[in-house]
Amino acid sequence: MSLLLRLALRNVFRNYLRSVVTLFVIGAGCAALIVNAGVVFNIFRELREDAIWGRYAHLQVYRRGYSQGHRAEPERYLIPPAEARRLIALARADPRIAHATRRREFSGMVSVGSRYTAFLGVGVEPEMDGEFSRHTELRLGQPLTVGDAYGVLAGMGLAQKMGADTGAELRLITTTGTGAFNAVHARLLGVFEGGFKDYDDWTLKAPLGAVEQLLMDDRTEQVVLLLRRTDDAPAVRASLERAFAQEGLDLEIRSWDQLALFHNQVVSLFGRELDVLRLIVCVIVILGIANAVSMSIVDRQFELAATRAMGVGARPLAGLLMTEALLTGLIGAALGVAAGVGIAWAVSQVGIAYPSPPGSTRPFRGGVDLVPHEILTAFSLSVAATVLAAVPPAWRAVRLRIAPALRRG
Amino acid sequence: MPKTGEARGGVHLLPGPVEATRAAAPAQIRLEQVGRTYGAGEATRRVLGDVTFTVPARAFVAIAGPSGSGKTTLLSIVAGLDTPSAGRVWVNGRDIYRLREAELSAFRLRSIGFVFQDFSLIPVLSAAENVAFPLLFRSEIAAGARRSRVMAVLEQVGLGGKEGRRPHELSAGERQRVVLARALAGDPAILIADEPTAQLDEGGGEAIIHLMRTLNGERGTTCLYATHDPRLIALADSTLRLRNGLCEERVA
Repeated sequence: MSLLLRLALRNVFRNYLRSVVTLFVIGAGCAALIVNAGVVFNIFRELREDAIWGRYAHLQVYRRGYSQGHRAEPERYLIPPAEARRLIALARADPRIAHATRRREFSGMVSVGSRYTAFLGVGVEPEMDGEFSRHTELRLGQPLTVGDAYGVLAGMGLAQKMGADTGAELRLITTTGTGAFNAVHARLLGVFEGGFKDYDDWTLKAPLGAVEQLLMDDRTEQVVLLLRRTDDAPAVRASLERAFAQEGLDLEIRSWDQLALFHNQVVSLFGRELDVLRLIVCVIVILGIANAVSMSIVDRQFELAATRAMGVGARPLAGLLMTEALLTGLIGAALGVAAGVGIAWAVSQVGIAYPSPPGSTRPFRGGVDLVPHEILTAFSLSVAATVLAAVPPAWRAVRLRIAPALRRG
Repeated sequence: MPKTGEARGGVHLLPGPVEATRAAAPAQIRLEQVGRTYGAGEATRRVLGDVTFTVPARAFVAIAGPSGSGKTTLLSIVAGLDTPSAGRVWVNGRDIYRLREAELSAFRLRSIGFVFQDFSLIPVLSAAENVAFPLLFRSEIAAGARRSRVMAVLEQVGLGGKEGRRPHELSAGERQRVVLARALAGDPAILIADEPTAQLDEGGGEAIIHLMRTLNGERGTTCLYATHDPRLIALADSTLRLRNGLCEERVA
């Protein structure tokens, strides 16, 4: 190690108490950034998992133009059975895709006795529903089964509005594509909680066969895909789009992050909060370090003046002081990373009990995620803030008037 | 008078490679009507007034005078540390206060050895590291030459075997020897010492001046030192006496 680096390192630990305080300020700031980011990203992850495993899956495939036009002309954007089979076969050929299933959304009225309630229906393949609804909790009754072609599930809010218990006989009424009324008899198998109040207040899940019978139409509205890894979504989407084009299938794909609006709003809101916190921590670190470096330079005024008197130029001396700041930042930030990781681990062991977020129906227990790029950001910011804080006092130090400083010494 | 680097007597202060790195020949210093005031308006305080003298190359000169007479200010001006309010300072015919800041630093680094009154050692460095410190900024001195020079000069000032000690582990006399070694390690053309014996006992002070004298004799280094100790003044070739910032007397 060069003498200059050795000198810088020794100067960092020269005043024990000041070094401890300085390193504590940097470390605490860095750890605060890591833990805060970990908490926020944990919430993001929970919301993401809810969105993927409770409602949207990773990717949804529709006939091209569906996203823009299906509300006005729902019949125009349905996928014929043969085409749906081809696209599911294509999807299942990709090893990154774990599951693929068909869905059909519709709306109508459900009657229990003389009581009529509006609902939003989702026709699903019963054998696949469990995989696609891992974050949907069954509160009462049993899940959909292949053997019960007319057994349905209702969201908690909808079940309350219907006033129906499990086992209740229901009548589902809707209009077909041709405008005719149609109805099927069904039985309430269970009541679920998806976590989102609107979803639970309106949603009814029914076997796809019953829905096709009700609508008198066996076309598919959407094919939803679950991937083995969420991070693969963009790549899988791109390769499927290529495959569809080669096969002449005129389809469009939407990914979960385009569909999960609530998740996106929360990420946007908390993302800003993270930025503000980063700024606050940087200001605290900069003020703390500037003070510590200034104190250190005042203490060493005679020594610095003597160094200049020996002929050490302003630039090398500034380099030495900045190297000290850099080392201080690196050591403080490294301690901060260690502390942040330790705190994150300890908090995750205990868990954080959150109340229900806005629009959600259930509280959840979170933790602190360790996010590599956030750890790197916290480390880099802490080091940069320390170096930045040292610039003004170092600048003053190298412009020191030598003779008066030597006399004061 | 021997040429630069030529041995006179049996002791070489510095080993051979130093010769190649010496920045300048023995230096002649000339001050012309140099004055220094501090403050402005009615608060103006004159510390040095109208000092004119020449120090020939290889001279061994004492600056004498009571406390507050301007000795430190005069040495600071000669060393390029404090800009005079009036007058000019030439070293080997070059007006050092016409140099830019970086050039003045380089001049101090290569041509001046400074022995401070208050040791001025870096407490976190060992004796050897303190001596090596200014040499780090002289790119022409290779690491190996630097190490051998540091060890040689520490040996010469009587600190052989103590090179690894930190300043707080040394006595006052030893610390002042480290300061002297640091000033000598760069083989300066001019050695300036501001009350180098102030913190030392009688014997220690004389030993320091004798070391400087040896250097002056062996290397032709021009030496100026401030003191008010008559015994140390008597060791000089010539003496400049200051009183209230004015040059009172020159004794050849």
